[in-house]
Amino acid sequence: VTAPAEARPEPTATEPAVETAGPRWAVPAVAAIGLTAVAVGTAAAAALPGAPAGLVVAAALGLPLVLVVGLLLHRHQWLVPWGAILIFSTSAELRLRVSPEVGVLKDLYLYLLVVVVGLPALRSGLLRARLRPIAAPMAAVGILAALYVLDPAGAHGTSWLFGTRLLFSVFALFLIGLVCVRPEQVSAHLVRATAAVLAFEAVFSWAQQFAGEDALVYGWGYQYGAQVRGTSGGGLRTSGTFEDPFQLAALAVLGVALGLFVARRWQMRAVLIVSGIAVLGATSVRTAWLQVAVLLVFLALRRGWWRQALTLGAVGAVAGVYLLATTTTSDRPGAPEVPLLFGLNGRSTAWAQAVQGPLSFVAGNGVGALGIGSTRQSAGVSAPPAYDPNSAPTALYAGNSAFLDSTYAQVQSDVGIVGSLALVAGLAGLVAVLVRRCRRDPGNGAAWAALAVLAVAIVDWVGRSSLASYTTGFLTMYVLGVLVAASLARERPL
Amino acid sequence: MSRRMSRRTVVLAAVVVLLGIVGAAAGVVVNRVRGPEWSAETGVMIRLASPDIVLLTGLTPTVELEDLIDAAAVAKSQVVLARAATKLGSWWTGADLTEQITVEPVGSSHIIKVTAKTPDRDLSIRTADAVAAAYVEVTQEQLRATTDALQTVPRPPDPGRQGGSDVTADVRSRAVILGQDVAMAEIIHTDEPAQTSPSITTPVALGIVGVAAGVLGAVVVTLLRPAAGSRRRRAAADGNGYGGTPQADALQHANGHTNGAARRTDDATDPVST
Repeated sequence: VTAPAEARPEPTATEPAVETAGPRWAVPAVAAIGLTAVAVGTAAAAALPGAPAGLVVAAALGLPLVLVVGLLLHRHQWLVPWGAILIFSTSAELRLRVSPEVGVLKDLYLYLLVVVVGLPALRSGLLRARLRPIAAPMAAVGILAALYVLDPAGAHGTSWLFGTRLLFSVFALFLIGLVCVRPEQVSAHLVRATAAVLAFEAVFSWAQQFAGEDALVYGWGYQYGAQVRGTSGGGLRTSGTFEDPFQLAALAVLGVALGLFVARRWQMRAVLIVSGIAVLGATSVRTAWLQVAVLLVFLALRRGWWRQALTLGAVGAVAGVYLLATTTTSDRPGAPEVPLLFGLNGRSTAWAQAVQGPLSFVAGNGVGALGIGSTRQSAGVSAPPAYDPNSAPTALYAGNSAFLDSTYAQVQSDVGIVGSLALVAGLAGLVAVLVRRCRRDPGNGAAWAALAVLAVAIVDWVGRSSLASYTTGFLTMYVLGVLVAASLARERPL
Repeated sequence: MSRRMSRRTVVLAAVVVLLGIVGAAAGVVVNRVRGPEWSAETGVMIRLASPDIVLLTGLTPTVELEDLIDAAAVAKSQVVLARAATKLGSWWTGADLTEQITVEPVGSSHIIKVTAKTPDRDLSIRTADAVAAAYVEVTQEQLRATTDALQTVPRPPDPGRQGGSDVTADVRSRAVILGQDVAMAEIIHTDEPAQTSPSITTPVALGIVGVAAGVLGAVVVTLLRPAAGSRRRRAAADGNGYGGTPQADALQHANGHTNGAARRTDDATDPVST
């Protein structure tokens, strides 16, 4: 790796400008439509005294609010990461405290972003300009997307809709991050938003730890097995405002990555890293610690400590294998204990479900037949997280068709081997582009951060179906999109 | 150049189409090898899942998803399949049916779905019906055995002296009701069988897979070729000391061969927000 001072920057093609000010009539139009909506809503409330008050208020204020927020997001795209991080992080808690309908907010926000960020970028040609450097990997991912739409081995039912919608949502968020105007400014605000939310989550998750599991379940209204979980050693896992500890740990890993590679000021760096480590302590997610180790390897590589990085990686790998070989665990309650290395906590059994014969290997089992999409078939999954004294949550375990627990196994099950190869090719292509960018310009913190986030995601996807998932997939892909865009702009670390 | 490019594009397109055709042809072959296959489904409604709770408490718990999963496992057991085999004919065994029968819960309902796949249309209906009927019989017999046993439980000598009521009397009365009047499960319907093979689905699916494989191959080819080209450019650029892309070299020439000049030029091309 050459020193930053000797970096040879790679020029980018001239990018078209996006007109974020909008036409002159935009503000008057928004005001007129908003006032009309308020007037119509008020008139409806007066004319229909029996109408539910909440519905009338939503009708009167909802449209103007959406218009104003849309206009603000279009004009000031640095607001987008604030909205994304805040909504994605708090929606589970709001569903529990306010209303289950709050869950729709994330979808509304996504659709709004598509309209106010995505469509202008498409019209101006910015999308094409930003996609050009990563055209080949995106083409491979496009094949995967096409296979999900066509669903060669399955029917286009509820499971297909659910599985496909989630995957397309994360792809859309990646593109929205990629086409943001002034990516350097957006990534700076992404760092600030993540730091603010992560610091709050650190305090909140440790407050939950001090409260104890009885208080969390009987007093705070959380569900044991969802927001409140136990470790194999009997410890408590808390999840902050997320739906489970794994989602919170994913945010912490993203925060640590931003702190190590993108944050410019040491205060911001300290907040991100300290909060991230505090959150990881509260969640006790082993894979997250492994991801932090991967981040440290990339940090060492960036500093030019190749030998140290390789040594750290080798020692980590040997220690990991030793740990896996000597730790025993049960795949499910009551089952005999087996070494973690061979069963991977039941994951090898779960992964084996992805391939159910030669035809299944080639064309898959159909989108949503197993794994994430299949959960839509069962009752109660769409219900809000809540404590129900009359029923325990249904345990998902290896052997349950809703439990593939790997993104690669999920894709293999959904669309078969060509989809799996397309995913791997897309990831390999993106890694190659980012590695080339890091080698050309070692001072490009966003490129290193994008590479590190992609690497930890690739690691995470081995043991979790988190690509097409809310919130981990949503957050990861949006952050990755912003970082790739910032790396293309070749800004110095913020 | 463009002629060569177009030839390459034509070759890649031909490969994609060819792979699609090969995939569809493979689907036809799979259909031929598999032979005819019919699929019939019979629904069974689970009315009562936990008779022991009814016997002990008198309360009737609702049927949950876990109960349907348990019921599906029982319906696929050898006890049920062996009885179903005897209903179909003396030449059948329970092991024969294992491969032909799948049983799964139906969404958010109280129904399990017995699916039979056989080479013959009528046989698929009879097989699904036989397994469903065998399941209902077996569960009903198990209930009856339990309730019969409970009806003979001796009455305690003097419940009043022990400070409690006669619990066994309650259990016996519930056992009588359960054994005589309650149906554990009920067959509700058998759908018209559908022919699953040969069908157009397999050739279409494998055709799509073939086309996707071809397009992926084309992407990989285009991914690898620029890499080879960039290596050549880098090797050529080592001679003039720039080592970048043609655009980089042009920019560095234009900006006095300094990195800082190139950086400023690139920054100037960044998207502009107003």
